[in-house]
Amino acid sequence: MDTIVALSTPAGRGGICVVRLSGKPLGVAEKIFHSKALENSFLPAPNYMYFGRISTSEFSDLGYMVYFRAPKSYTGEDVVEFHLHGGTRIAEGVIGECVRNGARLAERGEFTRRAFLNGKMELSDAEGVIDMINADSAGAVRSAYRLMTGKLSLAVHEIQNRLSDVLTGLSAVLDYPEELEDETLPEVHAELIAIREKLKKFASSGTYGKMIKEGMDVALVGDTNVGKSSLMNAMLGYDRAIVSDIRGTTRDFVTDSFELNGKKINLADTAGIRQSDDVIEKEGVNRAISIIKDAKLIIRVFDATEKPEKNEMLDEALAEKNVIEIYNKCDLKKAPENAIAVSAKTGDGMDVLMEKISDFFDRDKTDGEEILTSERQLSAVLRAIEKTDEAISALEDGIPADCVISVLNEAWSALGEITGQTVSEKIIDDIFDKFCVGK
Amino acid sequence: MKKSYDIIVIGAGHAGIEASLAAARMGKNTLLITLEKEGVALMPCNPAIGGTAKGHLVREVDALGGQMGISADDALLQIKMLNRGKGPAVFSLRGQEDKALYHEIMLGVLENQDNLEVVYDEVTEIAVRDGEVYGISAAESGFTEAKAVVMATGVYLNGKIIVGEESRESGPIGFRCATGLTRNLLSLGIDIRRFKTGTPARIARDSIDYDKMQLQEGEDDIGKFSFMHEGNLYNQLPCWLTYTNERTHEVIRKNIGRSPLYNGTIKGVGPRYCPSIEDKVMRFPDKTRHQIFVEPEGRDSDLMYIQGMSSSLPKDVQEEMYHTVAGLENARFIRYAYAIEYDCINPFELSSSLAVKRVKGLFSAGQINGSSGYEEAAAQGLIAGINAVKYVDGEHPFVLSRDEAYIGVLIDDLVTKGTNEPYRMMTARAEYRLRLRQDNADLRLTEKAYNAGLATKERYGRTLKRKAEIDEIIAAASKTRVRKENGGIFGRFEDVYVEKTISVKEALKHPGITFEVLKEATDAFDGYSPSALFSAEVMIKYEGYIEKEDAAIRDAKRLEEKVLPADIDYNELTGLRLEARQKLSAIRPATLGQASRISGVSPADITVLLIYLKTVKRTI
Repeated sequence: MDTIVALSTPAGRGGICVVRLSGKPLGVAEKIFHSKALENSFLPAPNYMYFGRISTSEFSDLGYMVYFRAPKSYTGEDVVEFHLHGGTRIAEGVIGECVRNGARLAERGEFTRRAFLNGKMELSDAEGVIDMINADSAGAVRSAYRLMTGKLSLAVHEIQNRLSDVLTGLSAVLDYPEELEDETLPEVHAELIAIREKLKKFASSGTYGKMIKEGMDVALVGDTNVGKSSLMNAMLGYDRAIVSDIRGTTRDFVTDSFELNGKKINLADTAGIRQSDDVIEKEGVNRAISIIKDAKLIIRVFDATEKPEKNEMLDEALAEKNVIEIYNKCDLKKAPENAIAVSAKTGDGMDVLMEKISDFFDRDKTDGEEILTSERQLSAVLRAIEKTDEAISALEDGIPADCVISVLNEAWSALGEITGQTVSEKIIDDIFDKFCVGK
Repeated sequence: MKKSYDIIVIGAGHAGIEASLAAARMGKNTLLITLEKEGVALMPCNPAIGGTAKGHLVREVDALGGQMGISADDALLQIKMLNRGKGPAVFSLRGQEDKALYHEIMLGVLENQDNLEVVYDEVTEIAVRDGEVYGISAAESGFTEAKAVVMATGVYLNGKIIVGEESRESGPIGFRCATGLTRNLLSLGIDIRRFKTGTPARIARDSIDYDKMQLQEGEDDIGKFSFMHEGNLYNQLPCWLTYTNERTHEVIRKNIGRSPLYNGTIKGVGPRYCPSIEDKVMRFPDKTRHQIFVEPEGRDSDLMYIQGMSSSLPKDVQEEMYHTVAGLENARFIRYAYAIEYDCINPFELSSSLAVKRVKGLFSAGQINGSSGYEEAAAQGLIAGINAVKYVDGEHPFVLSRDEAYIGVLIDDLVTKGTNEPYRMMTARAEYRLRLRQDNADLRLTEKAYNAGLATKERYGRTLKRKAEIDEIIAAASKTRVRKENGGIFGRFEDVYVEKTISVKEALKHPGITFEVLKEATDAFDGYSPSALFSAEVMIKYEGYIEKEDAAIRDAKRLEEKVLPADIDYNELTGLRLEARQKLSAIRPATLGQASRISGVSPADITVLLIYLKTVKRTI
C-alpha cells in the first residue's frame, strides 16, 4: 500500500486549504511537520489537532496536522491531514514536499476507491459521496445524504425481494411439477403489476431527483424591451445581465443559477423574440428558441405599460411548454386583473413569482419515496420497468414460465445494480470516473 | 487380472460404470473393481431415471457418448415428458425402469467392452507416493498398479443403515459396505463429512388395492432418452397416485420421538429436496395431505416402490402409517423404509476436472462427492473417466462450462459452492436454461466428445445429420407461406381479422401454433423427423428469448475470463469481508466468475476484486 496525497479542498483561493495523505502517511508527515508536542517522538494521538510549522524546501508556514488512525478514517487507512493557509502556492508546495518524501499524487477518485476497497462504504454509498461533493443546493445535499446512508438501497432491496418471491414460486413449479399440485402459489400477474407500479414511482422520483441535483432550467422570454434582463438581475440579486432602454440589447442568452428555498434554479435570460434582418439578432432569436425547447419552465414576460402585440413566432415556440405569464413594470402601470404583476425595479411581486417557481419545482415530487439521483440508477430502474413490462405481456400472451423467468431475472439484475448485488464492470468504471481528486 | 492398468475405477454404480466405460472406450487399459456382482448398476432407491433437470443430465451423458441413456431406454417400463406447458427449456424426460433388467443390461455392456476388466474385491487403500497415485490395494487381489484412479464408491464408505431404534453397518439393501477406505482418505489429508439419505418401503404388488388410487400412464409418442435410438415405447406399465391423510399424519406425530432423525440418532445431513415423510409432516403442519406415487420395480418384480414415504421410523410405526393410506390398507412389507448414513468428501477438495487437488492422478465421482441421484453420479463418472484419460495422456482436462451443459453447472456448483446436503440437480440451478435444453444436448456436446475421442463416428454422424435437417427446416420455414384466415388454424388461438399469407416462421411465433398444427395448412414439412421438427420449432418460437440469453452469456463470459492471479493474497485485501477472505483463500478460484459463485463471497467482494485487478494492472 503506497501513500497518496492530494488537495482535498477546492483548488484556488480560500481561507484555509486541506492537504490529505492516506496509506502510510506518518513517515512523510514527520519530515514536513514540526511541533513542540511531537518533538521527542513523532507519535501523534489520533483525532487530535496539532499546531506546528510545515516546512518545504521553498518556504515554511504555520498550520495544523490531524492524524486519523486506521481503520477509523475516511479511507480506512492511516490518514494525515494538513490544514494550511489557503492559496495555490502553499498547497502546491506542501504536496510537492510530500511527493519528495515518498508519497505519490492521488488519482481521480482514489481516496474514495480506497475507502470502498477497505470496506468503508458500499457502492451506492460511494455514489452518495460524489453527489454530496457536487451538490450546489440544500435539497441536493439532503438527497445525497439519504443515498449515502443507504436508504435508497434499502427501498430498492424491498422491491427486489418481491421479485425474488415471484421467481421462487415460478421456479419451484418447474422443478417439482408433480409435487406442487396442492400448493397455492403467489398470484404472479397481479404481483408483477404491483411491482411495476412501485418501480414507476421510483422512476418519476428519478426525474425529480435529477432536477434536485442539477437544478431546474427556467427561461425568461418575451418581446424585446419588456425588462427580462432587469428581472434576471432582480431574481439573482446582482447585476448579471446588461440592462438598457434600447430594444434588442440582449443578443445572446445569459445564464446563471441561484438557490430558491433550497432548490437550484438555472435561469436563462434570452433575446427578445421578433422578426429581424439583423444577422446577429437573428442568431440570438434562434438561440432563444432552442433555450425554450430545453427549459422545464418558461416565464413569459409582458410589459404592463404596453398593449401586448401578437407574436406568432413566440407563441409557436411556447406551444406545449409550461408557462408562467407575468407583467413587468407594474410600478408604472397597473397590470391586468388576476395577472401576476411584478416590478423588477422596485421588487414588488417578486415573492409571488418566486413562490410560483418553487411550487412548480415540487410538482413531480413524490412524498416519502426515496429519490433516485443518478442517471445510472434511473436507467437501471427504467430497465427493470421495461423487463417487468415484458414479463407481464409474456404472461398475457401465454409465453411459458421458463421465458418469463429469464426476463424477470434481467429485471432483478437491473435493480441489483443499484443495491450492489449485481456486479458489472461498467458500473464500477462509471462511478470511479466521476470521483474528483482528493475526496 | 493383470498387475498393471492405465486406469482403475473403484465402484460399479452409475458413476463408476460411466468412468470405466469412458476410459476403456478412449483406448485405456482399464480395471473396474467393485464389492459384489449384484451391486453393479444397482438402483437402490426409486425405479426411475430422469425427471426435471435429471432428464437433461441423461441426455447430456448420452450426447457425450455415455451409456446411461442407451441402457435406460432398453430397460424402460414407462416414459413421460414432464413440464409440458412450462416451456421447452424445462421439458424433462422421466422413465420408469425395470431395475433387474437395467442391472443385467449394464453387466452385459461392461463384460463385452474392449480394454475393460471387471473384478469383485474390496479396495482398502489408494497407493500414493510423493503426492501421486500409483495404484490400489484390495483385500483379496493385493496391490495393482495404475497411472490414475477414479473413486466412485457411492454410499458404501462406512455406510450405516438406520430403521427406528435399529442400526447396522451396511451398504444399501444390505450389501456390505467398505470400512477401510475412509481411514486411507483421511490419512491423505482429505476432508471427510457425513451425509444421510433415505428410501421408502417396498410393498408386495398383490397386496395393494389399485382401485383406490389414480392411474398414472406414460406417453407413447415422445421418443426415448438416447440420441442413438429412434421410435417410441409401447406397452407401458402404469404407475399410481394416492395421498396421505390426517390419520397418517397423526400416527407420525404420535411417534415422532421414536424417529432417529428427531431424537438425534442420525447426525448426517439429509437432503431438503427429498425429505422423509416425518419431515414433511412436521415442517408443514398446515398441509392436510402429501402425494404418494406407487411405482413398479420391474415387469416381473413383486415389489412396488412407494415414492414420497421415505422414513426412518421403526417398523411397527411404518406399518401403522402406511396402512392409513388409501389403497395401502393391507400393504405387505417386503422391505422397510430406511435411512442410510455414509462418508463423503468435501467437494472443495476437487478441481473442475473432478481431480482431487491434493493427490495427482486421483479422481472422484458420484455420491462420494456429496451429490445424490443416479443421473448426477453418471454425469460425474463420465467427466472423471474422460479426465483420468486426459491426465494419463498429459493433455488438458475436459471441462464443460455453465453455459454449455447442466453437467457444467453440476460440477461447478459442487467444486465452487460446495454443498451442505446431498446435491441434486435442479433446473433452477442453471442460469442459461433456454440454451441448455434437453432436445439440443447433442448439438451442444457431441462434437466436443467426438473431438475428445469418446463419442463414436456413428454418433457424430447422426448429430451432423440432425443439425443439417434442423437448418433445412428453419430455412424452409422462412420460405413457405400459409394463409392466415378466419376459422383456420389461427382462429383457434386468436381472433383473425385480416386474411393474408404469412411465413411459417412468423406463424410459429403465435402461441398455440406448432408444426403439428401447421400440417393442416402445408405439407412442406412432412418428410422431417419429429426430433428435428421439435428442435427447429423451439429455436424459431423462442428466438428472441434465446438471443437475449446468448447476450447474457457473452456478458458473463467477460467476468468468467478475468483470471485471478495464482499468487494473490486474499488476506491482504482488507476490503473483503472476513468470510470472503477465508473462502477465497481455501478454494482459490481460477477466475473472477468462479469466485462470484462461491457462497460467502458477495457481489461487493467481487467488486473489490475487480477494482483490485484494475489497480494491479495499472501498477504493472
